[in-house]
Amino acid sequence: MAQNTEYAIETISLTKAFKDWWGRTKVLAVDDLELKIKHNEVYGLLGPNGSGKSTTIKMLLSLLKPTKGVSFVLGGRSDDPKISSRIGFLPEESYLYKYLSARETLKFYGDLFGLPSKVLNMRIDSLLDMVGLASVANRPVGTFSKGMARRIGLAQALINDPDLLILDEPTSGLDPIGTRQIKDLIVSLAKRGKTILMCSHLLADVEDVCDRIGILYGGKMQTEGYVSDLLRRNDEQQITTSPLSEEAISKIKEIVQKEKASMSIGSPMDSLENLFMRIVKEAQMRNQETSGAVSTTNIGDFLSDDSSQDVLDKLVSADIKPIQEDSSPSEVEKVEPLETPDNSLLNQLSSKSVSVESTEAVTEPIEKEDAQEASSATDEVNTDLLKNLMKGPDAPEGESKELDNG
Amino acid sequence: MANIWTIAKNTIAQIFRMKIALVVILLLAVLLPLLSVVIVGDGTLIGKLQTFSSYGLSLTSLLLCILTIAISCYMLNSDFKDKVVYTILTKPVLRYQYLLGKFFGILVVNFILLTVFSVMIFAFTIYLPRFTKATDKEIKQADNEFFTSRISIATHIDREKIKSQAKEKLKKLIESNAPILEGKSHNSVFNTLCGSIAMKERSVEPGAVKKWSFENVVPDDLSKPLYIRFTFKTLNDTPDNSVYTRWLIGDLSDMDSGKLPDTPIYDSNLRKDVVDTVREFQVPADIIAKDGHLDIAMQNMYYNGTTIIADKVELLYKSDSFALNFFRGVALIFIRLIFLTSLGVSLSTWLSFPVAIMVALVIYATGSINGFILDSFSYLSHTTAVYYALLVKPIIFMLPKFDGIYNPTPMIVDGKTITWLFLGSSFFFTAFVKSSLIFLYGIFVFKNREIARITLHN
Repeated sequence: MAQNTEYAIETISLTKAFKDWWGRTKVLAVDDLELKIKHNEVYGLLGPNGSGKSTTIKMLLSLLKPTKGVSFVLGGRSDDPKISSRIGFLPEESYLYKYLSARETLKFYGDLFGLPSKVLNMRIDSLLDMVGLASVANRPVGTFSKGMARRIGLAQALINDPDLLILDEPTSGLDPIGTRQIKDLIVSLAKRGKTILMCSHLLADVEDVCDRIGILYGGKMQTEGYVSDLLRRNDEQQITTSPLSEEAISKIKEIVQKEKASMSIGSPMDSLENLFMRIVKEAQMRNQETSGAVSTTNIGDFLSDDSSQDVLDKLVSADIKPIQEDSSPSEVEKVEPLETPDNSLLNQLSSKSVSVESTEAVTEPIEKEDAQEASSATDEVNTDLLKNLMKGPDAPEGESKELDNG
Repeated sequence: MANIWTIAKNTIAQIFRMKIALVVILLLAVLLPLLSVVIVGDGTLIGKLQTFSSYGLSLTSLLLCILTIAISCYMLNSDFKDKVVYTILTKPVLRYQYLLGKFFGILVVNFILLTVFSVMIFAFTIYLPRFTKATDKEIKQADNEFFTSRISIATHIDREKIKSQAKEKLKKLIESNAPILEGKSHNSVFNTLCGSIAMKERSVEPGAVKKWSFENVVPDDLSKPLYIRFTFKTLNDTPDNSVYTRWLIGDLSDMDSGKLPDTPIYDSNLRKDVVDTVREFQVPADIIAKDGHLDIAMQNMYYNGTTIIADKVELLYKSDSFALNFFRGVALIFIRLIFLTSLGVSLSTWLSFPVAIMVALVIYATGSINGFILDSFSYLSHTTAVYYALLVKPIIFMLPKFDGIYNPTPMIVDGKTITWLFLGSSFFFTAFVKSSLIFLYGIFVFKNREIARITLHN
């Protein structure tokens, strides 16, 4: 089944017709789709409701059978356990057993991958921390709000440290903070070499994180290309500066007039999302009390927080780089250097033997002061260390795959 | 394998959260102790024991079978309804592993519940005599006839022989153009003849002697007695509702030539027995011939001039302990549960919950009263031979058998041995062959089914 592995996802003339009871084609949900997604690409599948996004994803995951055509995922069929163990899937709604607690849910899905329990327990702690559900880890998922269910859904998709992440409407049901976190997460996962296919009709989400997008309508690909190419307006140019004096503006006007071009001047608008994030951040800085879910405030920090940065490192195996996002406020994008406890955690990840004491150390809250103490020099060292340890989280999983085959 | 167990574990957790499971558990947990107190039976200790164990086992079997059908049909459908199956089957879980996980999960629950409740019934029956005011005689009777495991050999009427005799007689009647045939179909005359021959076979006129022979009577322990059990009817009502008989039991094969056997012969002398009631008496085991041959001769002692109809005479001897027999009886119930689990899971791979549970219940009912349904099927065999062989026969083979000899309750109530051989063959055919075939069909369907299927309605 090994196909051309140049692409993480490749479909050839993929078609899905929904038929009625008599076998008559009623709806052509996906029509001759040729989708090619390279490795380490963040691809956004866009389209209005009923355009065939979910159907495409379900065919990729072998939940639906194509009427015509084939699809290759990571060079094989997605119902092959060797392939599916490298895929993470977040369905459009979080379909989980309502009576299982968040922790039990992750344990259940982790067990399906045959992960050794030590590795699994560590990943569960990290993931719960990351999605901000550590405080409600033992509450049944059925009592969760939609946003919380979404978070646990995302955590289950990441439990196997997937190479390919398929996200169906990843931000639906999330508040703006949660949405931002997921977007940040997608960006940082992509930086660590993951391939991500997300489908959404929330255009802002896709615009922020995707390298390439395709717009589906009526089951057909209408347009496809790099976000930057598609959105760039080549007939206009933009210069952004800090506030200028009247004199300078008139000078610029003169230059523009000489070029015989038209011009407009005004202050650039901030996006509502950025404004919202800034306001909430400021409120949090003032320790404003909130009646909102505790988890929400916790999650607010999970990507900028050291411990959660650390979580990502555990989950993914590529270069540690600060999360960059041009539009985000400095608070969010700032990645603080790693401190010593985290190194020990990474060490644990790389070695199979994990002592109980050190695991406890990880779960201890890390004080902000400590983080500031760490210098950029240690940062360098840590990065090297990280590179050495990259194979850490993978090693046990390789083992588990062998176990699977056995 | 680890996958299967993970899904099984989750299935177990799922079942214990289902209301129907709790209802069944609660019902049995309340009803069984209550029955043990309330039930009186016919007033004797053995009557109480028999009634309690009969009700207890039947109730446990019935409720667990229904529970099994309900949860095994519901399990897959609930995963589909909540779409949890999307997240499970996109993990490295093969579809057959998912199905097997569900199967074993339900089976483990069944095993736990059956174990708990059968231990409960067993404990109640064991302790019942201690908490009941019973005479020594009653306790002894209970020990001999209930707390035991006895192999039973019963006399039976050779139907084929009767049929051939009736045929011959009918032939003669036709040849002689007998007036009895007038205005009647040959078939009805044949049936009447069969009836009268069978009646003649069973009836023992005043003064007459009836002999039954048994082969392969080999008790493990010759010091333990044999039991003769019989129920007699009479052709006409008797004044004291009793019959008077004398029994000679032993190796009587050479008696005709006037030779006495090496083994002793038991002589009951005159017995008086109430009609239409199960009667039992003991005889020593050393009367059996070395080759396992045993004859029972019964003479109708014509004190009241009544013709006895000897429906059934049984020879029983102890072969095993009550506990082991009880265990085998419970194992027979477990075989039912294995079959029903496999059936429910298999059906729900392609049928929605209400349809699947309907079909499973019908099949369960068929198995429980298959005498009547199988008879109606076999009636077809005369008229539609080809269809019957190709279609009906395989279906009949696949149908489970839960009644008759496959029903452990009457065996345990009567203290009769369910042999290991019978248990083994029953396990092989029902729990292994039939269940596997049904389950494989489910796997085949599930493997080829679209998980996220959308059906369009006009």
